[in-house]
Amino acid sequence: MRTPLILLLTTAIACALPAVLESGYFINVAIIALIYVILASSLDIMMGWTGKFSFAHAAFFGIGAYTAAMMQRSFGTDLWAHLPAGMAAAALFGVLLGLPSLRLQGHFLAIMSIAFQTVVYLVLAQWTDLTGGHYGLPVEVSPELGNVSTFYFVTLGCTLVACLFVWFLTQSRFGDTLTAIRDDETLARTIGMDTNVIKIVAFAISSALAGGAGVLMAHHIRGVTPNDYTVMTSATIVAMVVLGGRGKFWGPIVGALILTILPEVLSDLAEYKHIMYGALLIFMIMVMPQGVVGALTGRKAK
Amino acid sequence: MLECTNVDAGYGKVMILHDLNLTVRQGQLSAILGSNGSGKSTALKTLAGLVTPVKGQITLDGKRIDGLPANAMTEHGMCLVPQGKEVLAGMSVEENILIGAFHRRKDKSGIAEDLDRVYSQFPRLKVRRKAAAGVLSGGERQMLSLGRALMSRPKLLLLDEPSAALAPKVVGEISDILRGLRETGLTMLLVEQNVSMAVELAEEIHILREGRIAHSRLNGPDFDTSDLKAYYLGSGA
Repeated sequence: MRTPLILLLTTAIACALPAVLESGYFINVAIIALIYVILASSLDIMMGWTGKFSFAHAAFFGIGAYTAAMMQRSFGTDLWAHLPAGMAAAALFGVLLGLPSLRLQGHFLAIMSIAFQTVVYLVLAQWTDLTGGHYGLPVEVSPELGNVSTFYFVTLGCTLVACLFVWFLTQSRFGDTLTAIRDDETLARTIGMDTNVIKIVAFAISSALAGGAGVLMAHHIRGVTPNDYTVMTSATIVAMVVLGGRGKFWGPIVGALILTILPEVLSDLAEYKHIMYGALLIFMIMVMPQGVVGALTGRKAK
Repeated sequence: MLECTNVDAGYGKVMILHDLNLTVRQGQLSAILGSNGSGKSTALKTLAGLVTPVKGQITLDGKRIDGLPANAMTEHGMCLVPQGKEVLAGMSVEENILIGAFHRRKDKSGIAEDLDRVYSQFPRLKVRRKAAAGVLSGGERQMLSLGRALMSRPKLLLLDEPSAALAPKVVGEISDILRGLRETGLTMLLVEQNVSMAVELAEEIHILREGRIAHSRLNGPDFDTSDLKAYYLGSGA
């Protein structure tokens, strides 16, 4: 139970950030970092715990964001309605991507997820009547959330809830079944685990959290455009998980923080961001394949 | 107890088993012998629900089980110990054993009892209960696989080559354990390449060749292994 306590403590310290960071710019960076913490942690349910690579996380991120934008356009709803709806919509599509995962393994599933990601992107970019095409859709933030510090606290709260959820999920019996599937799926079945149902549920949960992150993003940048939800975004989230350490609670959190803050610090080199990610990934896989957190907490025998 | 009638099974269009007929009697340790590619593992996988038969039927205690998914088999009292001594490497030894009781997780006192029993059967696992399962030796992994399977309280245990890739001394230990389990009245079906181990343990021996049972006979003091050798080498047919 030490981890949730450290998490609460970290959150408490993070509460002081708006007071320390006077400039709105840094608070904005912090909000983006938190959103990516949710994304990386939720992807790790798939990648780290269940052992299924997915390059479609940005698709679910986008589905959440567009759900918020479209709901507001049609019904004039606010963030609190968008969060559950965006999560539900993303979960639904997560089940859709989960279905092929019942038959496909390893690389094939990864390729399938890239295809899924591409289809979602194309729909967002081309179905102009529904999604606003390349121009996207605006999102208005309700006045009480209009202040950037207030929105920071909302995002921090959501991130805390998401991370605690991931922690308790992975420590639960359900988490054991995920690990069993990752280590040996045939064995998991002979033990009596209904691996098909478990994988679908894992996909749904992972996608739902990404959808929630998308709703926050849509409200934060006050709009949605398809180019925020491309396969490059997916690859960035994968990079965060690999950098931080797969299947470790702190891994994706640390990875997400590093990969959102680092480009801001090196903003002069922003154009070369993806080259740096690539180089960093190769370096990580060669030097510490278990990620930063994995390397710090010691090797676990495989 | 286990009855397998006219079963055809395979992967996609490739049929491995042809008209497989097999009976395992209550309390008996039976063995299926055969060379590489004879369909031993496929036979066991089909019984365990990992491969769905295209023809024929399989019954366990009179209930049809063919076509059921593998994860339903533990509830019917049948548990497969897969080949390769697979363990969940990231979990501790004790967690690996406990996860074997997955389908009856509500039965806390029963699980604690069974855990004690497994530890008394496999004292080595008790010593190493906190260790990560990934660091165990081959023999210990095989014991762990067996212990985990026993946690499901099986009526019938399916064992896929428990002696594979183990040192002779360790094979002896595994044989002793299986003999001990046989004495408790557990029904077992053993698939082996190791003829001497199978002949030493099994009460009934089936020889599988090209996906068919080529020969079945009860084991006894007069069991002639030269016969068996002939089947293996293919000249005795």
